[in-house]
Amino acid sequence: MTRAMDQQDAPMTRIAIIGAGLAGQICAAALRANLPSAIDIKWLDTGRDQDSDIFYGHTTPPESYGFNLAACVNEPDLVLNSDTSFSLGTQFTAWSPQNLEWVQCSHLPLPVMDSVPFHHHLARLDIDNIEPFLMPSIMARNGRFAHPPPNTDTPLSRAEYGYQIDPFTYGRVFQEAATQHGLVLTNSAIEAVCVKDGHIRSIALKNGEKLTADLFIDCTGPKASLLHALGSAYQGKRALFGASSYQAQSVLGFSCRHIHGTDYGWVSESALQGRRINMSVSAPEDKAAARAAHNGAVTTEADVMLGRRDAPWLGNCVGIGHAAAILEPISTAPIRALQRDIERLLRLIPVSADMSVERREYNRLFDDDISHMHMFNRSFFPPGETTPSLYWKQASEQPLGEKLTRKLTLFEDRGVLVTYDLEPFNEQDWTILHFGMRRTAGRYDRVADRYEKRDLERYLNTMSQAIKTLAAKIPPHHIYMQGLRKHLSNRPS
Amino acid sequence: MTPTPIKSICIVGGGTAGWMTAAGLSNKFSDLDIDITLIESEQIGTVGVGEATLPHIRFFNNTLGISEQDFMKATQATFKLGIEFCDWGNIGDAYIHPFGDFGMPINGIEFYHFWTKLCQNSNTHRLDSYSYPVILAQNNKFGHPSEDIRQIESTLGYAYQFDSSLYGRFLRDYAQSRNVIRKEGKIVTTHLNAQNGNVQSVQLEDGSRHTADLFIDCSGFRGLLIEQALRAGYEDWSPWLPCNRAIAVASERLTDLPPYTRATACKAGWQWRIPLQHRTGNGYVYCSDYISDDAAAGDLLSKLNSAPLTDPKQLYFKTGRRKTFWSKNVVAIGLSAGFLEPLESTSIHLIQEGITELIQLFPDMHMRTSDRDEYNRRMSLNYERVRDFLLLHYVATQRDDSPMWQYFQNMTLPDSLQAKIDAWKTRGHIMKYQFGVFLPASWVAVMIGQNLIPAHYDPRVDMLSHDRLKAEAESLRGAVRDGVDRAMRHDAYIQGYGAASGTFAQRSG
Ligand SMILES: Cc1cc2nc3c(=O)[nH]c(=O)nc-3n(C[C@H](O)[C@H](O)[C@H](O)COP(=O)(O)OP(=O)(O)OC[C@H]3O[C@@H](n4cnc5c(N)ncnc54)[C@H](O)[C@@H]3O)c2cc1C
Repeated sequence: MTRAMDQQDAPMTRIAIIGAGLAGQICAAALRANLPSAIDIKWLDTGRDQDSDIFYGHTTPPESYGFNLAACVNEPDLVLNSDTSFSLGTQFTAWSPQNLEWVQCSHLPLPVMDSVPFHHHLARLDIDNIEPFLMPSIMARNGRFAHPPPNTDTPLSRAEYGYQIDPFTYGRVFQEAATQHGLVLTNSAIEAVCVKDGHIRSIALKNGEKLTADLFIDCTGPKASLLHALGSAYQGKRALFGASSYQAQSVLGFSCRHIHGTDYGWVSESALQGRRINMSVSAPEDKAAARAAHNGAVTTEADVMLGRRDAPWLGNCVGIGHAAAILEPISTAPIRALQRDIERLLRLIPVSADMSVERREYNRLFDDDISHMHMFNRSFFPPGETTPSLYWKQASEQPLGEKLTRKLTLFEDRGVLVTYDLEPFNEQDWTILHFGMRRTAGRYDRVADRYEKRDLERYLNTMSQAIKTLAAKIPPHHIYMQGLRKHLSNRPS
Repeated sequence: MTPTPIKSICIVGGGTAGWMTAAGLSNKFSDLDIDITLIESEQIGTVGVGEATLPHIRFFNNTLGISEQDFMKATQATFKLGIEFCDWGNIGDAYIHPFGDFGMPINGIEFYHFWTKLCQNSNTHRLDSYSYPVILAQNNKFGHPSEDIRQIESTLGYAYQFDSSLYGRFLRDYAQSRNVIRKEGKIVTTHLNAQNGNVQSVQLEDGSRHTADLFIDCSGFRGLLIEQALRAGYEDWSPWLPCNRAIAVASERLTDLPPYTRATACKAGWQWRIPLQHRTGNGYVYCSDYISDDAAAGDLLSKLNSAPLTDPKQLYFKTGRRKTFWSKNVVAIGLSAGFLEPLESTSIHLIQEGITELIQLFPDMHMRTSDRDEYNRRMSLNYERVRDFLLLHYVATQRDDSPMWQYFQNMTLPDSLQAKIDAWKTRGHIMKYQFGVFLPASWVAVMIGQNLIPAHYDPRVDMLSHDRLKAEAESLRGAVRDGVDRAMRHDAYIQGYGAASGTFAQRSG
C-alpha cells in the first residue's frame, strides 16, 4: 500500500460516512445517489445513540420534496413505507408570555400590486392578521390537505407543503434507498480515531477492523466523535431538554404540527399515519415538568446544547447535521440545516486530497446558513421578556445581533424586508412570522395610497372569501391520505 | 413617530442619472402629493458618454411604460447581446461575454462542468459554440428571446447601445410630461440647516433659492451636495483599478451593424467600440502613469474602424465610491456616488439600482438612520461586487507585456476575489451571490474566455456516460447553429421591427 494521503493532488476516491442516525441515513442515500461508482463509500453504524434526533423536530420544509427526489426517495415511498404525513406548517397557540396564536405556513410569493408588497396594503387598512389571505394557513387550521396543482390560478397552487415525520421512521426510508443503491452498513463501535497533522488517518473499530478513507463524514450527532478527535470547538448557546412519546391514533390528525406554549417551554403534537408524536421542550432545570406532559409515556429524551461548530469541516472531516449545529425545532430549521449541509457537501465533494479550497468555501457557506437560520428561530422570541420561566427568559435574552436587528427595525418601522444572500427562509416565511409575532409596520409604502381604499377592501374581501370557500371543499387530511394510499397501491409497478 | 411625508424633492443635475431619477420617481409617485424639481446647468453640461447598457435597463423602461420602438428610434439604439473582449487573456485572443447561459444544466449541474470534462477528453469546440447569443453576435444577427424555454432562442438576454444624451432628452420629455419642473441655472451655494446639518436649500447664480425636503445629488463627479457640502468622503479604489482617464471620439456608422460592444485591451488600458444606428462610439480608458494623453489620442484614432466625426474629448476620473451614498437628506446617484470604469457597462445599471433602492427605502421627514444605513449597505455591496468583477478581467490573464500588465501581475487581490479565483481554478466552483449584478454565467464567461480552465470538474458529472454526454453536447451545438441560421441580420431586424431612426450622423464643424 503506497497510497499516500500526503500526496496533495492524489484523487479523492474513498468516503466514509460515520453514524447511522437521521443525518447518516439521509447523507448516505444522497451521496450514493449522486456520486459516481468510482467513488467508494463506506458506511458505519457506531451503535444506537440517536435519542437527540428528536431535536430534528417533526416537520420538514417544502424543499424536502426536491431534496428527497435527488436522493432517490420519492413521495410515494415515504407515504407507503413510513408513517410520514403532510405538513402545511405549524400552528402556534399560547406562544410566549404574550400568548400569541398563528399558523406558520409556507407560501409562494404573495400578490404584489403596483410593485408594493402585499403586507403594505394590509398595513394601510390596519389589518393585523394576514391569515385569511393564506390558503395553506386556512387549510391547516381546518385539518385539510390536497396537493397544490402547479401553475394554476386557484389559491391552492400558492400553498407549499412539507412533511410531518418521525425522524426514526423517516430515516429508515433513506437507509433503505441507500442500501438498494449498493451501500453496505457495517456495525461497530469506534475504538480510536487516529489523527495526524489535523487529518484523520484511520478509525480503529471495536470489531478489530481499521477504516481508512480520504474524506470522513461525521454523522455521529451532538457528540461529533470525529470532529471532537480533531479538536473542533463548539459554541454552545442554550441548553435544552426534550422528551417525546407516541400515542396511537386510528384517524390521521391535522395537516399541520401544533405547538403550544407552556410555563416550562412548549409542547408539540404532530400527526403521523396511525399515531401521533408528542414532544415537550424545556430548560434542563424544568425537566420534570416537560416529562410530566407525557403522562408517563416518554419513549425518548435528550439533553442538548443549542449552538454550532466554529467550522464543521476540519482537515479531511466534515460534520453533518447535529454534529455541526443544533437548532431548536420550533421551525423547520433543523431539517433545513441538515438538507443544506448535504447539498453543500455534494457541490463541494473534494476533487483531490488537498481539500483546502472546498473546506474554506464549505465553512463560509455553513456560517451564512446557520447564522441565518438562527436568526429566524431567534425571531420567535420577543427580546427582553420579563418572566419567571427559565425557558422564556433564556430564549428572550439571546442577543439579536446586527443583521437581525436590521431586519426587525426596518420591518417594524416601515414594513421593509431586509434580505441577505441566499437565505434559507424566504420573504413569505419572514412576513408570516412577523405577523404571527404581532410585529406591525409603523408606516407603509405611500404608493399603496394610489389604490382607492374601497377597491382594495373589495379585492381583499374577494380574495379571503375565495380561500375560505375553496378550503371548505378540500378533503380532510385523513380522507386525502386514504385516497392517495389507495391510488398509490394500485399503481402498476 | 407618526409618519410625516416628504412633499418636495430636488434633483441636482440633468445628466443620465438626473433624468433617469426624475423619470423613475415621477412615474412611481404620480398621483401622490410630491413636487419634483430638477436643476441643471447648460453652462456646465453633462459628461455625455455612456452608451452601452445591461439587460436590466429593459425592466426600467418597461416600468415607465415606454415602447421599445419609440425609445430605440429616439436614442439611435441598437441591440446588444454582450461584449466582445479582445486581447485580454493574451494578445490575439477574443471571446464574447454574452447576456445568457452556456448550454443548459444537466441533472442540476451547469453545462460548463460537462464541457470541462469533454475538453479533458480531446474535445476541441470552444464553450462559445454551445452559446446561442455568442454565435448569434458573431454573425451580426439578432432576434428577440423566445418565451418557450424548450427553444434555443429562449437562451439569450439582451440590452441596448444608445446615445446617452438622446436618452437623457427622451426621459426629460417623459418626466416633464409627468409634472417634473425643470430649472436651468448654475448652483453657486448650498445652505445647510444649522440644527440638523441637512441641506436646506440651493442657491442659483441668479440669486434664486430652492428648498426641498429631500435632495438627490446627480451633479456628476464633483458631488456638489454629497461631497462639497456634506463631506461624505471617497473610498479610493485606484490601487485596484488604476485607469484614471479616458478619451472619447465618435466615428461613422459601421456597415455591418454588430449587436455587441467591443473592449480591446491595450498596453495602458483598453479601448471601446460601441455601434449605434447613426454613428459609432469609441474611446480609450487608460492610466496616466503609463501613457500620455496625446499618445492615447493618437493610438485611439489610429485604430478606429470608421472615419472620425468629432474631435476627441478628454475625461478624468478616480475609481471608487462615496463612503456614504446617502448622508443626511441627500442621496447621491450616478457619477456623484462613485465611478467604476465602463468595461462591463455598469454605470447606468448602478444608477438604476440607486433609484430602485431609494424607492424601496423612501424616507419620510424623520430621515431615520436605519433607512440610510440599509441603503448604504445595499449600494456598497453592489459597487464592491462590480469592482471585483472588473478587476477579474485584469488579473485573469497571461499578459505581462507592459508596465501596466506587470502591475496587475504583482497585485495582492482583495480576499473576496482571490477566494473566487481559487475555487474556480481548483474545481470550476462559482462562489455565487444573490445580490449583485453579475450572475455565475458572467464569471464563467470571463474566466474561460481568459483561459482560466478549471483543473477539475464537478465529480457528479461522471454519473453521465461519456457517450451520452457527447451526444447531448453535439445536439446542443446543432441547435445553436440551426437557431443562428434561422435568425435575421441585426440591421435588417431593427428595420423590420420599426425601430430604425433613418438618420446618420455627419462630421460636425
Ligand atoms: C469614459 C466613460 C465612459 C462611460 N461609458 C459608459 C457605458 O458604456 N455605459 C454606462 O452605463 N456608463 C458609462 N459611463 C458612465 C456614464 O457616463 C454615467 O454614469 C452617466 O452619464 C451618468 O452621469 P451623471 O448624470 O451622474 O453625471 P453628468 O453627466 O456629469 O451630469 C451632471 C449634471 O449635473 C449638472 N451640474 C453639475 N454641477 C452643477 C451646478 N453647480 N449647478 C447646476 N447643475 C450642475 C450638470 O449640468 C449635469 O446636468 C461612462 C463614463 C465615462 C467617464
